[in-house]
Amino acid sequence: MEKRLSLIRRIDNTGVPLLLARLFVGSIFAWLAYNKLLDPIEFLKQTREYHLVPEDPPIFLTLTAVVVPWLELLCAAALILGVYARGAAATLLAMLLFFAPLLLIRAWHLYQDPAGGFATFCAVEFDCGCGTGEVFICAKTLENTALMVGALLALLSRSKRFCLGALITRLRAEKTSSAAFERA
Amino acid sequence: MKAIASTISQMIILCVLGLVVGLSVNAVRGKDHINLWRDYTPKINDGNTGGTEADEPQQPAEPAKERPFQILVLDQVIEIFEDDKTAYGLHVFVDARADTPYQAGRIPGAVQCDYYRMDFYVGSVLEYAAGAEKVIVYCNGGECEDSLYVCGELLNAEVPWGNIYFFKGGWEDWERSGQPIETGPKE
Repeated sequence: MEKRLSLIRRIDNTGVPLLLARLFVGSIFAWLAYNKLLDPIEFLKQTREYHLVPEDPPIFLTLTAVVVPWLELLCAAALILGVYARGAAATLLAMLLFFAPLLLIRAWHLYQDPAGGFATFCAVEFDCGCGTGEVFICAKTLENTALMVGALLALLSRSKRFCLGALITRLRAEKTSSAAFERA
Repeated sequence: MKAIASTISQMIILCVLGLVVGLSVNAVRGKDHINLWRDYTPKINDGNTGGTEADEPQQPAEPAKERPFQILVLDQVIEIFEDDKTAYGLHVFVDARADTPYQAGRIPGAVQCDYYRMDFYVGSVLEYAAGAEKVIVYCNGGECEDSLYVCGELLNAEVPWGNIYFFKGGWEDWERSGQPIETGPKE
């Protein structure tokens, strides 16, 4: 068991799994956020369909539509660059854990609705407001699961390789130590 | 423990940053600006509870804002469209859909009034509506509520209730019936 752990640690220490996870989750979220930002009104309409936030007063719904795409984009950029990567991964993971079940619930309601005429649950196709237009629920769930795994990996990895944040910290530390050396 | 605290503080920073950037960008967005305090989904009377048919004498007791709008069906809309008064601007068609579907196809002569970008369109629509006898509002049809929202906004903007008509079948009915359509941006 210990051997296996050390193997996982060794692989993690290379920084490659973290880099791949960061690029995968970051690029997909950047794409989704970009699409939402292209048409914020459409995102507002789709958000309303979930009845997540109280509609009275309207500020809850409108603020969600204004902030969520930017939060996604910032987290995506943070992940790709490796600045605040853990916080970004945790934020995106929290969002996925919140929204993925809601998607399934909405798809289930559509499946149960005779007017929808969906033969199987996987045949349910709808605009989930995710930024990709109409999607099949099973494909979307698979995508969400992969994103959750990627975000979890980025959150739990101990590696700091290929991260801009770690590089900045190291350069700052070097600068401080050289200044201290000069003072001495 | 330190790692958890650091992660949480990063999350808070990102959320605050998201809020600040989101609000700032929204403030300077033109047509796609979201009015934070606007109720985009007001309660509407969709006419299902005793909806009124057009061309009948309309003097219900309730105040105008609580009355269901007058509903038109396809045949009535075609009749109005073919009426000479339409050419003279006395019958105005208002398309409550967004840019893409509006430009892909609309009732010829229809003025765009995307409900979600009302501030952008309301001025020109009111100009058309001012001299009109009938203002016929439509959107996609089916479950689409945007035309009813626009009817409500027109009423709020002092367009007389008796002049506002809701074409329930909307674009779907119009297109399916093979009636003439107009495409591209409005000249």
